[in-house]
Amino acid sequence: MFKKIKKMVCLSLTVMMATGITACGQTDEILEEDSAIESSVEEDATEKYHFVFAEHVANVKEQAPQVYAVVQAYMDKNPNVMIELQGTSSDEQIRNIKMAAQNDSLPELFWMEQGGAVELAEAGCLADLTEDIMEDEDFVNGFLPGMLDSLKIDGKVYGIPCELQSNGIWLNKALFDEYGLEMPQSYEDFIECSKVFKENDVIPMAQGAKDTFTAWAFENMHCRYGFYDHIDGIIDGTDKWNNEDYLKFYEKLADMRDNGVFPENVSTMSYDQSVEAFLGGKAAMLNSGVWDTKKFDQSDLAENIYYWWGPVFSDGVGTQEVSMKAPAHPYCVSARVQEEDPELYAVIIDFLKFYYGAEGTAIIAKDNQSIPVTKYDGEIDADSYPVFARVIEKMNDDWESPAACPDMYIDGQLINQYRESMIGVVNGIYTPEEALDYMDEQQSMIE
Amino acid sequence: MRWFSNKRTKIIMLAPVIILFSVYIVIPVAMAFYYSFTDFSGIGKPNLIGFTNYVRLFKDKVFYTALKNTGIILLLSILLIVPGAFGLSLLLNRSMRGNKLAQSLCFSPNIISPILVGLIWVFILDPKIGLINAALRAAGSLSQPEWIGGRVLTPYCVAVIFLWQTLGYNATIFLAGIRAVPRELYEAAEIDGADSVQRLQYITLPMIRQTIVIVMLLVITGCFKIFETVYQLTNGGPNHLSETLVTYMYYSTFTSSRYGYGMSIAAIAFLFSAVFAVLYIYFAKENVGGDAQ
Repeated sequence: MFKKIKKMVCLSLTVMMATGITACGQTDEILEEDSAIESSVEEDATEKYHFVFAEHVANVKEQAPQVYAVVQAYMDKNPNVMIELQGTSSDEQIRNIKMAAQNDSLPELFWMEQGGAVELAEAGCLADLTEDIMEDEDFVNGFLPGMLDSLKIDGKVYGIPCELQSNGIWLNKALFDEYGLEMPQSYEDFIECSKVFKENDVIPMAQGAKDTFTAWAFENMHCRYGFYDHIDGIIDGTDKWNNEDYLKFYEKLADMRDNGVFPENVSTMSYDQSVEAFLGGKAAMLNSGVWDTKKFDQSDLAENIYYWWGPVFSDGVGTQEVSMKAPAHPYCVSARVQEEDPELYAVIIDFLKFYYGAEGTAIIAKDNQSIPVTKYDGEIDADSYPVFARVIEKMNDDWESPAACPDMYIDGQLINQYRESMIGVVNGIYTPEEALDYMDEQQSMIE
Repeated sequence: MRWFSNKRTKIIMLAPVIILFSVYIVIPVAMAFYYSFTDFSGIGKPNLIGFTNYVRLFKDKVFYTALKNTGIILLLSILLIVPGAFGLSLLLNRSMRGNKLAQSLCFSPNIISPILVGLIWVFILDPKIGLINAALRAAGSLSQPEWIGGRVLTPYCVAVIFLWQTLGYNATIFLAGIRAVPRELYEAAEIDGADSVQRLQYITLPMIRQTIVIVMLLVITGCFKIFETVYQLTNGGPNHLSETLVTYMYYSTFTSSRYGYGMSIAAIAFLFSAVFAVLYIYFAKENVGGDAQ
């Protein structure tokens, strides 16, 4: 009898453990749900038009609420259209799109990283939107300058930027005030502030270097060291990454590292953790971009969060007042739908015109505090959304912006390597020279 | 039963397995080898570029780092997992109170999702927020080793995690092997005056040689497949210092869109794994006079 009870207890424990642990595993899978697909509306048998809109965030409703809201608004207005919003993390989205391109099963409308989109366009997988977009003068005039040029190949438009790519540094003014510091302008100010924060056990700038894509603000800084003066030559093979100007910039990264600008666990800190550190008041600055605006407006720190283009350098190359108000990666339409289903294609164009038109822009900007790629003349409720109001102020300043962010200018196969070269210096893995040599080595691999 | 063993029936019965094996194993492996000779970027048509990817591979410092890390993990795993799992199985084979519970506990890490394993160990090993360094700080130690994310220790930590994750599983395999050894042999040895060490040396070990071969093969091939743990712990970083062959293959293929290059890494990893496994089987066979087939 005792043996039986013992067996039963053991069996129950085993089952409980297995259930508990696998349940944890499932939770994790949900958290890690890169390939989570969410359907924005339930199936409706009366729908006449249905198309897939594949986005590059795992949870569109949470991570890209402006996209979700515009899609909902369009479907409310057009009940005969059902847009199936699919959410996938950007890495997986790129992989999925490439695989779909192989068997001609691309989603009707989808996000794609710039380099891959160019390749898709050249392979004939993308719809040429020129006729349907460019001939509508009012629609074209609604865009900010240069936005429709980002995926223009031989005069043909193959995609429209999903949003504005604006990298920068977020500042927690309350911490600057607490330590009697002015918000920095120059590199010297930036380092001085960092030293004070460091002495007071505050992380000067939260940086999630475990995720190498967080090199954002560094790209702005690189533009202040002649990024665009050299890059064409590098691509042509007449110049090198390891040149005098770039070296000065990479040396500045090493200098920031040596002056304790970054957290001690920078190499294992993820982007999410860096945001958490900033929002938790543990970090005075954060390397990120305007996509965090809504999150910050909803936080307790909203009154104290300011946006900055990053420091200017006394030994910089060329104009120092460089901002980043460039087009981000594009939304593209599959060539198949244009060829095989002109009616559905017309619906997709109609949706794009809604998305980038006055109504869509208002939903994006006013309702969701996101920065549109189109002109927005509406009011901004600075009391309710102070962070957004300050970001818009920055967007309207007279600092010039390159037509494309550096990582969108270089070959798609080098984007990660470029970011890694900068993060490598921040981590202390590379010296500035090694980082640039690494880039030259990688550049040679794609030639 | 004669109809059952004729050639035609055998072929019909084997066909589904052969087809599945071909479709899901042979053809993908062959395709991977093919793509490794191309410049395929995932879009458009691949162009044949001969051995260029392999030439680049052998000049690529990150590849050597990944190879070194995989080697460290493999060596540590062979040195620790096989004897460790065998020792554990001997303990679990004893009749004692709580034996079943101990078996369940030892086996439990194996049923946790590998991604979750990585996450758990991040909170243990992270130099800043991890449990170990917090304990060191609490104990007054000034030393704060970079268990993960540094230049040196990550592959060793990955090996320890792999050990933690697979020890119970391999011990269970050993346990099954040990329990299959006929009791009469031990009884006879006892009558002949053999002590426990002699029984282990002259009965248990020779009788479970095939189990040892299986466990060794599982460990070797398992090491060449470690992905999620590294992905979760360090994502191969910082700057590829903790990359293994599989994580670097994934990075090259899917993150950098260098499908051709990634497939050349996959081909090399496949060859290493196959060569190690075949060599081990060959030597194991030699040692046991051909009965380890």
